[in-house]
Amino acid sequence: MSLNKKQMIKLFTNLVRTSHYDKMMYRRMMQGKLIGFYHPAEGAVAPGVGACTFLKKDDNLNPHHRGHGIIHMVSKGIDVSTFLAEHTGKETGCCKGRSAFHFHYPDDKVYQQSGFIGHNFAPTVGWGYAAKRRGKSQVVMNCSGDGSYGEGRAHESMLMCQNWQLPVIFFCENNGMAIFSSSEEMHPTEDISSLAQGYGMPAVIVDGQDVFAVAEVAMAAIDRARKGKGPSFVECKTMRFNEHDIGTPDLKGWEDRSEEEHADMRKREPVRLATERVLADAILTQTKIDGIHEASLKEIEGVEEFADNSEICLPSEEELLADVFVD
Amino acid sequence: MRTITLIDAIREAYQEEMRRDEDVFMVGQDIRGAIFPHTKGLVEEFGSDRIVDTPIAESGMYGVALGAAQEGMRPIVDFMFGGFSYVTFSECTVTTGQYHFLHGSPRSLPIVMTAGVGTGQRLANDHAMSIHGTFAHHPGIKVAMPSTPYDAKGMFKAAIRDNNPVMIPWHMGIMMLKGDVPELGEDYVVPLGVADIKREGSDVTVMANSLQLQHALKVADKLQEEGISCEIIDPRSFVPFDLDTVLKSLEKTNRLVVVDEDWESGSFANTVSANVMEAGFDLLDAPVTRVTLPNMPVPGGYMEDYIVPTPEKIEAAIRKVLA
Amino acid sequence: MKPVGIIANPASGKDIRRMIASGATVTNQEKQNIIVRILRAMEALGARRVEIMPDNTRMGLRVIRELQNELKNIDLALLNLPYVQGTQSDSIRSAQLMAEQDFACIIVLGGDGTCRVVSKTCGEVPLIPVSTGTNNVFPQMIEGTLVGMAAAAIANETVTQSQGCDRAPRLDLRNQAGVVVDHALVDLVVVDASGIASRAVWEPETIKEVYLTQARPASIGLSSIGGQIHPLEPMSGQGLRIVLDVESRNGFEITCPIAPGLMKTVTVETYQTFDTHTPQVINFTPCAVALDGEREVMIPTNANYTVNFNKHGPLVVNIERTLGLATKSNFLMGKAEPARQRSR
Repeated sequence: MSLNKKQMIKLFTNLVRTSHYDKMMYRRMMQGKLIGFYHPAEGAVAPGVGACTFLKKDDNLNPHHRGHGIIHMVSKGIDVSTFLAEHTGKETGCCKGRSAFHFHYPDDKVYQQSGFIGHNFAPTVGWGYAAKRRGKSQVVMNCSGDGSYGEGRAHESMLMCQNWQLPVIFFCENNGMAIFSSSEEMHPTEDISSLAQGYGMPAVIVDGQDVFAVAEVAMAAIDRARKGKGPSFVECKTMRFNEHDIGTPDLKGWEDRSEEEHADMRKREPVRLATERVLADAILTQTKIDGIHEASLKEIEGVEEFADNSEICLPSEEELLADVFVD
Repeated sequence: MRTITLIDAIREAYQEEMRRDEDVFMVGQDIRGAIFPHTKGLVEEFGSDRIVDTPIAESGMYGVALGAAQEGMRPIVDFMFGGFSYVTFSECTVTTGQYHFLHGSPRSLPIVMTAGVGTGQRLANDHAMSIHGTFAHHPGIKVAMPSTPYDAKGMFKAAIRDNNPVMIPWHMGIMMLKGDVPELGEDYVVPLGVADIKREGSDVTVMANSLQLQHALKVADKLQEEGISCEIIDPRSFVPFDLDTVLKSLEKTNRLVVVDEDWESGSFANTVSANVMEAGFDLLDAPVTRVTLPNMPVPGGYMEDYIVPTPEKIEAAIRKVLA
Repeated sequence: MKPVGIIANPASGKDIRRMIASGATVTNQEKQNIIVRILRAMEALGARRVEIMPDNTRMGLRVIRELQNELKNIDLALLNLPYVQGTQSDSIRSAQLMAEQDFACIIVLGGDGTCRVVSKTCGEVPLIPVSTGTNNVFPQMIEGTLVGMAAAAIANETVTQSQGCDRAPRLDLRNQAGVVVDHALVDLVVVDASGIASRAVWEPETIKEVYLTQARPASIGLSSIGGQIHPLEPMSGQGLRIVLDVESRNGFEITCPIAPGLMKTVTVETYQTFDTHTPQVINFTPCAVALDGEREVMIPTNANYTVNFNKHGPLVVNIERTLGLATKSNFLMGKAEPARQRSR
């Protein structure tokens, strides 16, 4: 279905919310208030919002690692206060503070964030298998970047999902960069989605800076999967405004990314594009837009308060050892 | 009691557990056609939805199990040959082992992994290697290996019912070994983590498993004629490991030979040796002696005989520890 | 000799219609292959300079790398476009530069939508539109080698512009102030939608008004609606207006291929032809206006927008006629290597 006004407002709201979440994570990392590392999502928030805003609670989601999944999970409607608590090593964290960035929201069907890029593809087959075996109409939104499609696992997964017509969406957020390496050097064809053709899977390329365009394509893919028509491939052409993770140099290959490249990229900042759009199409007024920003900042304040007021988690070695296995 | 082969005992475990629980299913390559007979006839009873053949794509194949287990199902993954698990090693060791622990343990992964392992077929390294020691190295995965048809059926049933990931390979050298098992319909399990004294003795303790257990039992018979009494312990599980049974035996014998069909370097035999040294040094009258594979890739053809722990090598080790 | 331009849309043949219908996918690898075939033909027939639009998927660069040692007699370069944005603005600005630099012709690889954006700025430079998909009316589905031959004939003036080209009509969309805000080459469709989003139009119940420059029964896409009720040849000098209404009591239903593999039934309330002198008022507001199949313009409630038939659209090279005329002037004779030389 093409988007209606209500859906456009929801997408816009999630876009604003998630971009503020990302900025909060960036700020906290710079302030030393985050454990481990952070891979900023600025410039690449629209794909996750478009992919996840209209997922149901029962749909499986593998979030893209950029933004450490926060874009995707917030959009899916997951309360991420325990995510920030986890990222600050607190006992209220979603994994009792012991996972760093390996979050886990099993009730919302987000099972894992692997530290190995491309390790989303293998269990994706299992989620799709379980959905099909049990005859549920749940779908699997499998989000990852262009770099992850270098993994053989990606190909095994596409092969098996297509063989068995599993309800899986291969959602590639192609920002053209894998750490320092450009997609141009690492893939023989520019479009990652051309891989899908070899597996006989329909593929769509969409402007990943336009949240509304992404959402409409994602909804078509979700609808298709839910109706039992099998897997599909969506490639979002997006961008990475910042370095790979905070603190690493911002390189392309082994040279600095140019000022011009940055200036060109920022012309297509997704929140700005969406704001222009909703104003021009009279979907929202400036006052309403300001209200959405304010509400998002307030929501995030609450999330930060929750994390900051929680205790650091430091159980004894014995307690930890007792938790390696389940009884 | 009935007498059946070890491989048939494993199949009975699959059948009974799959009948009991709809969520139990098997995934592997050519398991419908039964490249090894433990899956023979399963597809006829349970259908292709539950006896799932995948393309030659081990990561994707293991992914079926991993994802389905995350969804609350209880998969059995058959790697065919143990060495093939290495093709998807990161998933079946690191990712699987850390899942429960790292996530603050709200969910576990009830995955059973199995494969044919071991020397004796002259197939060379990648088709002959042992994997129990390597899997035991990774926290969060239970590891066990049966030595008799009775243990095989009971341990596979226990593994399938266990809420943790379990790697339970079986040795190709004892695939057709016959033994007594309870009548069909008599439900029993052999709990994981409990060693079994396969022969009582008083002069020396020999720890051995699977094919090596059979060798050790033969050696014990032979030495008995000389008046040497061997106590043979089958660890059955490597993780969790029943150290207490070994220590208790050492109170009697004060001498330990560990037979382990795995490379010397980083082997499970080393773990046992170190554990015994740390927890039972005062019980020992002689250094712990190991019978393992020398650190070379397992050669194929007739040269395989050079490196496999044979009854002769086990006998020599026992004599050494008694000297 | 004037240079020839190539604008290949890296995004064509990949939109949402692959998901909702069964549209064919044309990979950029295949588009590159088409460009290579075009260039080989152009070199063989004496074209001397070709400039390719740079795009964010670097098709042009890849082609140049592939051919730089092979095509010695042709000056092959990327168009000097100040920056590449990865949107349709790249095509618009490229066509403008090519027009300013007086190119002989512009080969356009893409669909109806790509041709439309190029025609915004190409001025009097004729287009050779080549379809890289199956959902097209304006561009022709034709082998690249033949396209290259026709382009060479135009570039070295074996066939003149006036001999080889036709003038296509267009539909201008004018706002309340009478300013042309955009145009369509084939179809302008009024859609009940809240936004532009993925641009495509595929739900028949959302289509309210259809304006066409041509309507052929053998066409695919939104113009097929007209093709079923009032066939109209491309150069007829007339446009067709169709009003659809699902609720209509007086209307009639027709089933037509609004996208590849997508047969949909629509209810026609009224239809009529119109010409340059009779602007048509868009009645259904607020709405999205889809130009050549893509939602482009949003019209607010009660805004007075009109659709105007304009005979002065872009010049289009008629490949069949051009190659026919070229053959008559012995264009192809003596171009191949003589047999004797080959055997040496």
